Amino acid sequence: MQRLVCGMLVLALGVPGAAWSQQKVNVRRAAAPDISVRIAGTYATLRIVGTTVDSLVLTGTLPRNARFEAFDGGKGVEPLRGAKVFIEVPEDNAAASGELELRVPARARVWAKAGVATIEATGITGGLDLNIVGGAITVTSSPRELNIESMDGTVTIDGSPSWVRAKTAAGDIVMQGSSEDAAFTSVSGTTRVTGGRFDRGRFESVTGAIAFTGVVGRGGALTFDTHSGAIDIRLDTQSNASLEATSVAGTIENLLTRQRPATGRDGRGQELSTDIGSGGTPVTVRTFKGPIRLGRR
Amino acid sequence: MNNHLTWEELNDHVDGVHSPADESRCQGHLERCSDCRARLDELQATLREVANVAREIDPPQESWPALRAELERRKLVTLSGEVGISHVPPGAESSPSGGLPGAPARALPGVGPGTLSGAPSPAPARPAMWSRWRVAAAAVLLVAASSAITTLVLRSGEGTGPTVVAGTASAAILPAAVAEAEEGYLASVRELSVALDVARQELSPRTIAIVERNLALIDAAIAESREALVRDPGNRVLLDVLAGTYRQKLELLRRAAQLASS
Repeated sequence: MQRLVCGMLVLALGVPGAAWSQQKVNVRRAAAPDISVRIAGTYATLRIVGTTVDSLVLTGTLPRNARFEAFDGGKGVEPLRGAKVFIEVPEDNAAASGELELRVPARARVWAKAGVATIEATGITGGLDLNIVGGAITVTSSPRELNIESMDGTVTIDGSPSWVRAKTAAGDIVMQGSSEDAAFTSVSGTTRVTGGRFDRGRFESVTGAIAFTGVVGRGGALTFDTHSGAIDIRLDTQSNASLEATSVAGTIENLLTRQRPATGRDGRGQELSTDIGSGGTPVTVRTFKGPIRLGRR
Repeated sequence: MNNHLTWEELNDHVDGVHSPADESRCQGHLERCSDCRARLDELQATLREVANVAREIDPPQESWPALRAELERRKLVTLSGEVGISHVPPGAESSPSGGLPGAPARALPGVGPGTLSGAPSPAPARPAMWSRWRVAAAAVLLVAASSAITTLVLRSGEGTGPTVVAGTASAAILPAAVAEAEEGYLASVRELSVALDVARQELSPRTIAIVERNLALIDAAIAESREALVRDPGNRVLLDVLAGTYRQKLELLRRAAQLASS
């Protein structure tokens, strides 16, 4: 790895007004179409934009006292194949002012990590791995791979990533789109998925509610698990699925088929086994005491 | 014959989801085209075979000792469970076993419930690389423990003998396999708690609060499921839900430890 030449980091010296306390970031390099970029540290907002241009452009402003280091994996004039950016802000009160925009080829793989931050990604078709403690992550594109981890930050996905994983402790997860392979896990956050077809899907929470509206893909499997979170599933009439639902100590409301839920083991809770359409794809719904509601989209 | 039916069209025909017009066209083509009829037969034969495959295959009971030995052998490092995690918070006496209220007061020296607060533990030496190694090791253990828990839970059936769990207010009886899985789970909690404790000063108070709040929710859920399992030891759904909640706790501890170490 080489350090990017110092000239790429332009300090905003002599700029009047409030801007004097900030430094400008302006990094521009030719990049391979599938470049890997890692950006970590303290910043308030990061906007990741996938473009049709084979170059890496990182612009924005950081607090003047922020330490900004960028490394690249290129050799001389060759397009970058990888880059690392690290931002350190010594004072917490300055952290909120860092704003960055990263423009990369659409097929790039971007790994970003921050504390409390807002990360927005758009136009990426490669891979995204985003990790925050608080704030929000919004992805408006359909990357091939999408991995998101957040403690209490909200996760919003508007797109159809082939493979997606989102994990939160308390943050809500909202997705509009479809996926071949999806897994959403939250302890207490709400998971709300609305969209098209899901082939393989796993939706888990402890106390958080799960709401799914979509089509069950052929040959896949969907699993919904909560401890006490409510589960609301609305399936498209085109779906062909064999559904097994159990609430050990809760209730099941079935508006999807004519099958009526049976009383569970030892007279507690309810169970339901029913086919939607011609049956087929297994849909498993399990909860300890959350209410289950099944309906049509 | 040209314009053969696509794979998707054949599947839709089998699933009966064609519109009347499409179905009519499809039927017409199948009557005329031997190639597509052959592919349709092949598809239907495959579906019949798949329908006959067992949905779950329980691993043989005798496989666990070998599995456990292999897991032990693959550990990157073996960590002591007694390093600096003596911070069981006040009022947590009812859940002495790594966040399993109602769970046994089994020999788990120094194991806190994965919480980050409480009486401070002696400040441990925190070389950064050491904490990263611990997190890495803990991640390996998480995978191993999750697999083991799943395996054990899946193979715990009606025929598994019960184990009397001592140390609770009223002695609880759990299936032996579940009790064994809990041991594995608690070991992983212990390892992750060590990693977290070593690096906890790196976490912001806000993060600590979030983690603690959610660990408390998980512990309450585990206690509730576990209590129900004692009453109904053969309940597979309950086992699945409990195993899922265990995984959530391990995952949360891993993420918190990783946040601290990076």
